[in-house]
Amino acid sequence: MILTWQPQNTASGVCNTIKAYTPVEAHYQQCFHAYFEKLFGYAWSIVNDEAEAKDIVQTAFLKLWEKRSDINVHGATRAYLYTTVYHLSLNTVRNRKARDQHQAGIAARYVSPPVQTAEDKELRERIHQAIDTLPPRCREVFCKSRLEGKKYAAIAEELTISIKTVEVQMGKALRLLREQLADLVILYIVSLFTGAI
Amino acid sequence: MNSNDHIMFTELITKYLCGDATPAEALALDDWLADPENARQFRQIRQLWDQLPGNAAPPVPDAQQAWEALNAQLPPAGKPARLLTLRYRWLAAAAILLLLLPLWWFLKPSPVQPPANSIAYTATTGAGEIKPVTIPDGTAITLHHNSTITYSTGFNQLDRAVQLRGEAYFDVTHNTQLPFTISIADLTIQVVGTSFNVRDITPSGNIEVQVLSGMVKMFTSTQAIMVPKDHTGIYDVQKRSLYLAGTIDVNSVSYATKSFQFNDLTVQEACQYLEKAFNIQFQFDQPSLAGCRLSARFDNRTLPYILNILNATLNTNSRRQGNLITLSGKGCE
Repeated sequence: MILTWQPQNTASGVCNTIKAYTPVEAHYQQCFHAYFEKLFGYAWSIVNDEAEAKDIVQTAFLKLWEKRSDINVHGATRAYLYTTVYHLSLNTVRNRKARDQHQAGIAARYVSPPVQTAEDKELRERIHQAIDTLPPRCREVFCKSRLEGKKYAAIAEELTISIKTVEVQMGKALRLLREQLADLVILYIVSLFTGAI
Repeated sequence: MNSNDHIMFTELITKYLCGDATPAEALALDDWLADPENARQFRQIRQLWDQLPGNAAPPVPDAQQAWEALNAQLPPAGKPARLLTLRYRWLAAAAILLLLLPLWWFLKPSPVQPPANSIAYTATTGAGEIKPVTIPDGTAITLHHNSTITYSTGFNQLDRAVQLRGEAYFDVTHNTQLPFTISIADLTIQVVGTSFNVRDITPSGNIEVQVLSGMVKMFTSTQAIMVPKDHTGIYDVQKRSLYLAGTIDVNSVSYATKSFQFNDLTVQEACQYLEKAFNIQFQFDQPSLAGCRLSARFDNRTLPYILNILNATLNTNSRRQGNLITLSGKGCE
């Protein structure tokens, strides 16, 4: 792609100067660099797979390219990208043939973590203890989400509670775990930051 | 952040980390994370989260690589409408030429008008030459030595595009409808109205844009940065990457601005700036002179005036022979 500023329709007299010189392609590229990481993080949070998350973001940007002359307002572009990534991610999860395998993967990470040092073991025990001390309802919701990999909507349906209640319980679980494991958090600040979302 | 907000955002973050956030929620979180303190809190939560059973830390993708992968998939001529109009424009140009042909034969043949995108104007400076140039849109350019600036017919009508080799200082006339662009190697610099200095002959082999007022955009086919006032945008030609430095060296553009700000510089450093601005050479008869420090400010002063001040400050004498200026004095401890 060569980024040049070609005037449009100057011969036919339909020239809308500002639009004609709007550097749509340059703007497009800027959008990519501004949002790529955030969109990748968002896609990854849903699909939990690097290659799939990359594909999703790329597809979203290809869709944006087709619409590049219609969407060049900052806010609109961003909303469009997030919405597209969301729907593509949901489709990916829905169509995933190896869904069971993915579930097994999560379970495997939990049940038999890779080779552990004594410190790792201690850490895991601390975390399990902390989860055990969560209030019963809170723990139930948390475990269904994290250990069984269920979506908020599925948990709400299963426990016949509202999605809002799931949100509240999950938020509470994380807050309580943070309090209990405050020293771990501090420990990890020292280690490398994982970066923003 | 009050505690209600805190609870709300913990819930939002949890929902996001669980992969259950709607686009609107992800956007809200994204906005909230624009605050560095919030971003710090989020990182802490994320670090704890990644330790919890069932979770894993997300990989950190390479944006540049992803852009290249995406760019390869974009249609190479992704502008069918533009191509069409471009073709029509050539057709129109060809038609006009055909119409004019008999007339051209009739009148005594004179050199053909250059085609629409040929070079219409070139200004060049040789060694030791500094040349002020004003171009048709009113933009004032000061060319440093061994530099060339060119632009095509249609400048200030179709576009405001110039090509530069070497170094020049630009004071660009404001015009939001026709952005001013400078092409230098595979880099493009775009401005609306501002003053700045461009050079592609830095010792490190980089292209530098020093912005004295307004805002400048630098971009290549893969990257773009905005360079605000008092910043330097740097294009690393080898690595083909752009980055931003938080300062500008005002004295390096004195050849155009005739303004010097020497803040506790060594005499050697100050003299290097004067050499560049006035196309002269300094020599010290005592090597220790070069290490003396000096602070001074000159706005639009002649070289003899500046030399007088230097001599008075440093307790030196200066002798000029052609372009060579010899400073003699005791030097400093």
